[in-house]
Amino acid sequence: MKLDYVLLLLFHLCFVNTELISVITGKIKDSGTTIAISAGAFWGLKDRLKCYLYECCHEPDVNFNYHTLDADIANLLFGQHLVKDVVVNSIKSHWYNENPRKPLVLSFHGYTGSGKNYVAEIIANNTFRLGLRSTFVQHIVATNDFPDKNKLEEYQVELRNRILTTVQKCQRSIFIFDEADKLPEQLLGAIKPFLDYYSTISGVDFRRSIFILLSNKGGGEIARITKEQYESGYPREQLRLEAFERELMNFSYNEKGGLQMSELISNHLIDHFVPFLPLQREHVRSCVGAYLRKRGRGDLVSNVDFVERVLNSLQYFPESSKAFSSSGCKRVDAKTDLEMAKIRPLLSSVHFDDEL
Amino acid sequence: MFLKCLFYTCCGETDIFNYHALYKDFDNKIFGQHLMAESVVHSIKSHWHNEHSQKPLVLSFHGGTGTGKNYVTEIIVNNTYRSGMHSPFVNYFVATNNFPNKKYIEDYKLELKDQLIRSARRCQRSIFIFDETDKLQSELIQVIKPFLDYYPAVFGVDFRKTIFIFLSNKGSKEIANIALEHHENGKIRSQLELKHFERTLMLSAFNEEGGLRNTDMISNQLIDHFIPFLPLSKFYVSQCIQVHLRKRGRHDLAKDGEFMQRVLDSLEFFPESSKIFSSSGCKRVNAKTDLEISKMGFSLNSKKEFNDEL
Repeated sequence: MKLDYVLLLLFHLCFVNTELISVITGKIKDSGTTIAISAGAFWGLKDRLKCYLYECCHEPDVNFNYHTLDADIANLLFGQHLVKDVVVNSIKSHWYNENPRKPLVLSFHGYTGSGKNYVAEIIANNTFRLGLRSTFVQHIVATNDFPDKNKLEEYQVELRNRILTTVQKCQRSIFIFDEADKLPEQLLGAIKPFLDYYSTISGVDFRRSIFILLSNKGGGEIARITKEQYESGYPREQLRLEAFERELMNFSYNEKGGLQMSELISNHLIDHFVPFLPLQREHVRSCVGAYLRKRGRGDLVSNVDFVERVLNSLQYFPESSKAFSSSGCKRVDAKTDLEMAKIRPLLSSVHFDDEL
Repeated sequence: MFLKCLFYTCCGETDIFNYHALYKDFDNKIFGQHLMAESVVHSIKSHWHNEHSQKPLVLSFHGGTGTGKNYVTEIIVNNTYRSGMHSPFVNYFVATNNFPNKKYIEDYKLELKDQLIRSARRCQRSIFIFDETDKLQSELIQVIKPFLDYYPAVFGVDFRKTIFIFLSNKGSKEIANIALEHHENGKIRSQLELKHFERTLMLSAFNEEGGLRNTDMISNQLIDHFIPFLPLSKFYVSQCIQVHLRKRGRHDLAKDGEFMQRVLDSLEFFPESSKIFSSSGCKRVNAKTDLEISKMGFSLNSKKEFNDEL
């Protein structure tokens, strides 16, 4: 970076000097401008070349597309009407807000397989050209990145530096904290100042970045509310965010681990608590359909028998009504593959029939 | 000298404290904090115009999150320095950010002392802000203490014209209780007076865990004013929503009672029984309002399409 400034200064000197000379002599008028233009051209070219080789913090590398985000969530995520509403709208309004007062902080809650990681991935894909591989997306897995309890002090400094340097490079950075409920309190405390209403922290402006916390906390509560709604016969699309938010807040506050008693909640730094509802049989069916189409076996989608077989190989709860899938859309891929492989022997038995 | 001040921020004529603008800003941007507005404006004004102040002005802001403590300091700074928070004479310390690690406390102590002296030497009118004072280690508070006292000079630097502001959540429960009691007795909020709070705040700051606990700062009466930030009722939160709407250029929605109600419903209120005060103050208001706005965009569009199809 220093070298760049020196170069710029040199060009400036050249430019000023030649102009001075040309003013004095009144003869070589063009030379100054020529040098200026060539310097400018060189400058632009260098910048573009750099962005061609490395990722830069502007278009086309960073380009939030609201329409594709909306379409992706609608097409790839099943049965999460609240997620669609909150995530798309909040990111959109934060992105287009010229002067946000604080970074956007979302907290995703729900059982495994309900799509928390998937949504985070979709958001990254629609913001950065390189998706999750972008240097401006920091995917932090608590159990993986910070395994040793005795090194918390080191981790604290490390995490702080990691966040600071990322936002220094790009204000539009996204931070994803997976398994946030397993993040030690000390580390959450280290994140806290970044989420608050400050114009700058250690000289870095955080107000345009996005923080996403993923956790299983409150999954039981969400399932309970959804189940009650289901049993009383109302459609789940009628569930509203407010019904969950209070519960989730209390829950993440009181339950052991991670967000427990943490300053994040008591200071109201989390903008939206987003519940991921447990998936019903029909949603898992959509997942199976999507996977089949991805594998190029669209013909099997209409094969009711086949899809039922896959669905039956998964686990459901509660014991009585078996309304909800206990693993969401996880394991669906594997189970579908298995059933597909099983078909072949059946086909060969058809052959067998023919031979007869 | 003049040329230098044109390019750099100078500690002189160009940065003038504007009393009227400060009062106007409080009036327009801060809602429901009549105690704060009065005492802050008057104390800063009299300190500023006092040529022979005996000690720096020390304010301690107390209150729940979202009641506007940070915002008020920002407004004060903006009305004191041309470049606002970016001014080199404004020193902003966030306890959890600037002094995170207990292991390096000795380093922090030296650093803090150096910075205080350096800033005050360059400008007598420096402002020092300590956020999350309740999380400041007491050893660091001991470092600050001599600068707040009645000394003509500390380490050869005159501190008597500087301003110290301490922000903390300490005592927010007590403030809420007093305000709630007052409300339940059927009295109006503007009848609350500073004296109702100051004693309680002092005690709670002194006795509660963390920060100012048992420090000489309080027992030596070095803090000039304890300023309570009252919890915000629905009425004031809706004013916050309106300001945000106007900022986003949606004047039309500010008059839409139904829309306002939707935003208010998405926030949390306490106590459980009467739901008078917002538990997050005006925090989260911006995010929730934005969410409702863009949701509306959706429903409007889809409604239109629906009608068209019919």
